[in-house]
Amino acid sequence: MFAATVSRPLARAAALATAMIAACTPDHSNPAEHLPVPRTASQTAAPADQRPVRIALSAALVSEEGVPLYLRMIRYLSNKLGRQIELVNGLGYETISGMLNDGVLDAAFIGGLPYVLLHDQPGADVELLAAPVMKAARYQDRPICYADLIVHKDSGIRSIHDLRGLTFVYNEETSNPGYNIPRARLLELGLTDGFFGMVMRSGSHEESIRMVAEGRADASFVDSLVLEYELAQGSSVADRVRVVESLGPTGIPPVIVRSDLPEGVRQGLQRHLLAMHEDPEGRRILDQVLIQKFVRVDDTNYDDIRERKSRADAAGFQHLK
Amino acid sequence: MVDSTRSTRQWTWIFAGIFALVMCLQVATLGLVQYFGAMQRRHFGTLSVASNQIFLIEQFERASYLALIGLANSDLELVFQEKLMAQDVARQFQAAIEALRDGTPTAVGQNRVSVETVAEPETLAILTRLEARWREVQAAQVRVLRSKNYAIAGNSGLTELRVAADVIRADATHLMHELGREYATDLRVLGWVQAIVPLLALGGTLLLAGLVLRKLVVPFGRTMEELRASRSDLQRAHDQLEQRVDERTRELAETNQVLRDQSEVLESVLESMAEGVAVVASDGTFRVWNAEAARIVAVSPRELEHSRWLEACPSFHADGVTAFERHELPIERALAGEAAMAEMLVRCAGDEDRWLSWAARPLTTPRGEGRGAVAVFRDDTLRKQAEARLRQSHDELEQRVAERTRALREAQRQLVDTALAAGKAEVATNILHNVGNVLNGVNVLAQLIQERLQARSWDGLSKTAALVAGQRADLGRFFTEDERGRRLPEYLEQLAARQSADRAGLLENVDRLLEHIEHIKRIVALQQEHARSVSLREDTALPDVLEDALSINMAGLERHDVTVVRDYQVRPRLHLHKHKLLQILINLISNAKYALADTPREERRITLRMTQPAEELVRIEVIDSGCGIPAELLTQIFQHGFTTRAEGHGFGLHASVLAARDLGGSLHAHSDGPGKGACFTLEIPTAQEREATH
Repeated sequence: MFAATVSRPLARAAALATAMIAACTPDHSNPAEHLPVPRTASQTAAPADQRPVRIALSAALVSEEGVPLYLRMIRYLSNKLGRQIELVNGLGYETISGMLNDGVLDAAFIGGLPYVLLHDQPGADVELLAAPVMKAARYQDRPICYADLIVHKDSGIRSIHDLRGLTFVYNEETSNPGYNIPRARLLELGLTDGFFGMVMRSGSHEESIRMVAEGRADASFVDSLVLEYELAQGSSVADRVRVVESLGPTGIPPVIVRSDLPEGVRQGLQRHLLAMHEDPEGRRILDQVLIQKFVRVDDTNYDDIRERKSRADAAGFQHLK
Repeated sequence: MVDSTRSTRQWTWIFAGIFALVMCLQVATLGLVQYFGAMQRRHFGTLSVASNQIFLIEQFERASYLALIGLANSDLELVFQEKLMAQDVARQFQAAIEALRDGTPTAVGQNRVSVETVAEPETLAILTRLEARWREVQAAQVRVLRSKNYAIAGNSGLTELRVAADVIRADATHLMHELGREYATDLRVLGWVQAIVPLLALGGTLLLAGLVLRKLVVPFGRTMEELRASRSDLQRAHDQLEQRVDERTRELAETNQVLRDQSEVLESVLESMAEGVAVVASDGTFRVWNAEAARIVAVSPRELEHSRWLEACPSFHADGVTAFERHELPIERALAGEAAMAEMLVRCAGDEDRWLSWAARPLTTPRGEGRGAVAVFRDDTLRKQAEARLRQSHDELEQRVAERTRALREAQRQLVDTALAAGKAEVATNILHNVGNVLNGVNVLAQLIQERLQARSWDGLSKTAALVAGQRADLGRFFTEDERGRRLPEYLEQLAARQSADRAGLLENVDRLLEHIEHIKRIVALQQEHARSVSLREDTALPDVLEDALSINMAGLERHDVTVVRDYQVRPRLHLHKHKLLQILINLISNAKYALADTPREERRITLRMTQPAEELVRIEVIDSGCGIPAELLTQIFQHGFTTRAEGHGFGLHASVLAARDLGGSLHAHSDGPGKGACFTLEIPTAQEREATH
């Protein structure tokens, strides 16, 4: 395609230029710092204790726009830990869960429900490392979040009851605020007989907010963390929705690690996360992502998620409709 | 030999100069080549970054495909690797866009390249569009990887990603075309420039060599000849200069000696001064401190900063109680640029109090910059003690003077009272004297009448009556026959005529007597009137007062045949104490009359002149043609008790002066000397505001 679309003389000049620069320009750069080095088969086959620590960032905490800030957090942890850390984002909850299960990933900023599903499966191989406490007052200095029901700001919808027959969008089936909590709410209200006119999957809270703002869906339950971050950034999309109802509090998306991650790395990650708010540079990064601090968190913090899922499973109401 | 060496050295310098010029030309050429080369590299770098964007888009698209394939095959390691790859590619893509926008170096593959800032509006718009569409491509990839649809065929998300990638690839290609078009001309020109610059450099070198030969070498030879010729001149000038330097050095040495002498003199002056002298540097330390200063304060200047002055020498203001603050110290004020003086009570070592008088001035450089301060101070303790004693004596003296003044005032008051009484007595004496004069006339007339009456013999008439009575029996015969009877009528006629003449003479004398008595009556009336108005001011016609004064003295004046001349040039009316004015004038006229006693009668003259030399002043002059006044007495005649007459009291003029002062005026005397008459001048203000106090 490249050869077909670029004119021959220009392509020749570009190739010549590249060759000249390659020949004349000394290489002052650090490839590891500036350039992507394609991973080869030998690298992928490297033992887990020698390769970089791999961490995934799910869309539970922040939208894609906020990924650069989390990259700064990863760079901070890498410097403190003295280990290279690789961060991937833009993957679905189930993919991240699968990677954790297979040992492709060592740790993840993951949603509450995916954590519960991973933790509660037989032979579970993950454990809680820490969880953020958000700065806003509604979080009561606890590692909790909310599921906010959003509609278009100009719509006449006043409560969940007004959504009958309308289009509802969710991010993923394994999302606690996006799917588990609204499902439990419908079950609680006895609205399990095909309450919505249409149910759509967006892939992320960020996409759900955009669809409601653009009128492609009438409502959605989104993670309060993602919505607040979008509003704090002055997003023109988030400005076009309003919150009708907030459900919760519920366990906040935690940071989890595989149990077989070397003890030193695991404890180092936890120590630096928990002390991040006391370090000036760490404090600046936390302020940018609206986090007050990271705290140790107990598995019982996520019992409300288990309870909601259990009730839905028991009622046979597993799919939003 | 020497000339040959010199010539070789000259030519060496010439060729060195040419070589340096050629080198400069070469360096300039090299600089140009480097500059154009750098520009060329930036152009090529920019094009390579733009073309690399197309490659990155393909890489991103390929990584997304592979990640999807990994998801489809549950090869999550592949998914991780490709996703990581896509993130790195995305980061490179974004960095390249920012580099193109900002003109900062960026990476292409393993190399780092310099780029030009994209400035053309159209190209910049493409760049902006490229950035926005890149976000769409990334979002499409996220949607694909978060979708549960892992199929390659018929995957709408994947189709969306492909379409977005195609669109952005077209934009990237467009960008490369635009940059290529933009740089094509520049690159062609740069090629020409690079080819031409060395040729220009060669031509320039040859031209330079020719120019150097013609313009430098030939003139240089001539210049060398001239230099040789002028060398001797230079040597002479050098010798003269050295001579001048020697002279100037000698002058400098002499000046230094003078300065040293002056310094020694200054030092000896300082040491011999009765005052303490202190010089303080800008940092507050004492630098110069003469012997008197050391004696007064008994503190070493090396141990003293002025900030420590107050610790070493507690200082107080003139009241001896209020302590000096640091900023109030004269030295501190002088350092601040102010000329300051102060007195201070200093508690020196051993609790001995000393009064110091300070005068401090700032010291400045000729450019007006502060360089410290100088202070002169002296020990005024003895002076202060003397002053205290003097003040005590002064107070006592003041008290004695006040007491003496009170006594003098009392005496003066009594004296004034006495003088006033004397003045009044003088007037009364004058009055009585004049009354006496008139009474003399009365007495003379009375004696005359008495004499006339005594001289007249009334016997003839009695004898005639007795004769007729004896002839009563025969009166007819007596008158006709008797001789005595016949002569009797004639005798009676003569007797009647004589009686009539006596009666007329007596009546005349009686009239004159009555006239004198009337005069006395008028004098007494004037005195009574004068006594009545003694303390009142009244509206007074000054000519009338003069006439009254004349009238009182008139008898005497007439008796002495004094001619009175009235020269009233003004006739003012004033509101004043009439009796005081009358008292003065009676005195003056009376004195003038006495002054005329020894003057021949035909020359006895008194002139009364009244003028008004100014609006606010009336002048009355009493001028006599009498004996005059010696110059040495002119200042004594107004003193109390001074008189030249045996029967005088010396009160009149003294009282007149006081009366004139009470009228707010003055009385002066003038005489050209003995025998030349005198003039007494009374001046009184027209506005009589001040009430007499005596």
